[in-house]
Amino acid sequence: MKKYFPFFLLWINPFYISCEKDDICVSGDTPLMVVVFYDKDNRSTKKAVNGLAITSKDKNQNLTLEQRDSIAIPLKTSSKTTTFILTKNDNSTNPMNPVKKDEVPFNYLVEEKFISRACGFVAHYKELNTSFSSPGTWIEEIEITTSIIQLQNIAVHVKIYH
Amino acid sequence: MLKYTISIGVLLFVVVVNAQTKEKKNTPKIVKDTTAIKYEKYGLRIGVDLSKPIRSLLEESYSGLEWVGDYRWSQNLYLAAEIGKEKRTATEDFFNYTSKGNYLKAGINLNSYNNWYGMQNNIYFGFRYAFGQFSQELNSYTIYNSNPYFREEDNAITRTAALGKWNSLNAQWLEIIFGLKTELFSNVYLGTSLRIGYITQNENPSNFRNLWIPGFQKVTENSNIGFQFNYTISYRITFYHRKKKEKKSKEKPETKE
Repeated sequence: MKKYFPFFLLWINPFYISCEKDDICVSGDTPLMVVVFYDKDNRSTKKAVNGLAITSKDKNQNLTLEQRDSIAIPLKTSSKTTTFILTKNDNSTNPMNPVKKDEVPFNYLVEEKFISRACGFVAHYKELNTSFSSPGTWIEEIEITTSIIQLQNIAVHVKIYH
Repeated sequence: MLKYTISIGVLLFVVVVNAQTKEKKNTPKIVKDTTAIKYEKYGLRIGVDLSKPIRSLLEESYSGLEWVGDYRWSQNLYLAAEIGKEKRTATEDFFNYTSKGNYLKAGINLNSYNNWYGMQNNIYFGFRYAFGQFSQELNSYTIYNSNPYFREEDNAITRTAALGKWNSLNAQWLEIIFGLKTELFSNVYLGTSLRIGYITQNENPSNFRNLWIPGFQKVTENSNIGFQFNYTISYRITFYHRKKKEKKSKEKPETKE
């Protein structure tokens, strides 16, 4: 019976070998739209927005509140359009009327891609465009540099000149 | 009494051990009949996998049936095959899908257990090549987005764009098996085996994946290897008898030295 003992070990091992950690999604995600702010008079220079606030038009909750020159923002996957209200709160340029808002709608198509068992499906966006009519209250112009949003890390999707 | 306890214990111990090695010892009174020819039974063992019907009763989202069989080719070599079908609906974290299909496995089992005369118990290694044909159907899903800002409205809608059913998908795999088969009572055998599978061919659907293959079962990420257990019950139909091959001359006539 001793000579068959290794067989019985095999019965135990697979319980550990087959318990894989493939239940956490690490291999994919829905990408965010990368927006970079530039100076309207010096188009290749980035320019931070003072007191920037971004909110989706139909939500009360702010997406972000800070002073930055670039930001990654999510787009709705349940709709073909997401409208953001971009607010600038700038005491230095205009102390009497510091708060300026612009409404910017983004339109796109959503493509659902399967990633893995742990992640399921993520959304990729294509045909990104905006129906913003320039100039706005503080935004001079919006340029879509890439109309396909698949990868977040290496692409700049939108340039906003102000 | 105490003086003899150990001696009695030693004596008893010796007697117990002796009984098991009776065959090897030279016992002058026992005469081995060396003219009797020993026959082994050859035939077909057919049965079913028990684990699948039991699982079908316990799990509403699973149904399956597998027939198993082996045929004795020579003393320790059996030709073996399994044929079956499985259907399983699974809910993962972000989607729900159904796999359904049939499979056929064919190969050999090599018995490594030295049976007593007339018995066909097996402790074996086996190899199989398996073919499966199946369909995958995506029933429902949500979009994964680690950013929570629009999560509520995005998860509220029912998505249909990526839903689909992919028919006539194929996969092939190799299996290495370690198993036991023992005779319960006349000609009825109970078996159990551990199978390690290695996928050699896998036709994945477009924008989805074969996460579970009937016959192979769970397919893990970035790996072609899978494991299975099964439990079988089989019945032996004897076709013919053959002389047993004498490997060692254990049964030689006793010449007293």
